[in-house]
Amino acid sequence: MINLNLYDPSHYLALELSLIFLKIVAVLIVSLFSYRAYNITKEKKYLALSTAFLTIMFSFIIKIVSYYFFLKNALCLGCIGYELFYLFYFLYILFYIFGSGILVLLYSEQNDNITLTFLAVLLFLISLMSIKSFTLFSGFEGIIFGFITLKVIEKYNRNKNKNAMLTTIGFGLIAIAHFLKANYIYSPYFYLAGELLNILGYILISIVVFRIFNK
Amino acid sequence: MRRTKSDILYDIIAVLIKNNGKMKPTRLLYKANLSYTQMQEYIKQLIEKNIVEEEEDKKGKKFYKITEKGYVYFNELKKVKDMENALGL
Repeated sequence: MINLNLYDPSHYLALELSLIFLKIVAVLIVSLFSYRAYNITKEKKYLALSTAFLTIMFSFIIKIVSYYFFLKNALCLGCIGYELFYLFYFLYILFYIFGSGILVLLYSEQNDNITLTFLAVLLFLISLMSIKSFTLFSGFEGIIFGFITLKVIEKYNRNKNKNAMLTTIGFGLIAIAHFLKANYIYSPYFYLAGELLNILGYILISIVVFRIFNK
Repeated sequence: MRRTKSDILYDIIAVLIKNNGKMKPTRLLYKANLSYTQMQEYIKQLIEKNIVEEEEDKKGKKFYKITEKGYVYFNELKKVKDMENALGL
């Protein structure tokens, strides 16, 4: 059985890093198949979907880089590290928020310039504030993915499709995961549970997309 | 609900396949629920992509026929539609 000693940074980071690698693969699968759908139909919504998941994938890669600087600093006192850690962690938040922002635009079917500008400014401000408060970032992401889940449920109610049900569960798990992570200050186990649900959500969505294109 | 571009392309090819891969323009227009302008626009695209070809019967009347590439394209479109339904787009 895995010893979940969350207070040991090296152990914890190793566990989280392996989960992030899995998330990168899952998100990349969705992005690639969305791009394939764009190539077939030339419809902008698939390009937006592909861009959203690609942006989220980049955010995960940047998170790994930020952890590298965190570890580097932890092992070498006085070295330049935390500044770079914070810089990359901010970029991680920015990319993740923008990736999920594109998903919100896609699901809300809003594409006028005023809404786009307003949302871009709002997302940037939330990214800036999130660097000081992880709870704000996670709570905001929970709301975003909760909104997407409701939109997918609407569609599921119309066609009662098994795949739509699995995707609804996937997005729902990601939303719950973010709300759990927002409570990390009460117990680090909230963070771990959130990370596990998060990866489960992304894997579920990628399996659905992969199965559709490999029938 | 308003049909997207891919919905219309899907419907045109599905109607052609259902009718043994070929159909006269007026019938296609009716079966795929299209206006004349819409049909002209989409058929032009499908011909350019070599998905549908225009032929003439013995009486010199025009009809549209789906190509081999058209069948492959239809399968791909079907997958995209499945993905659209699955992701609730």
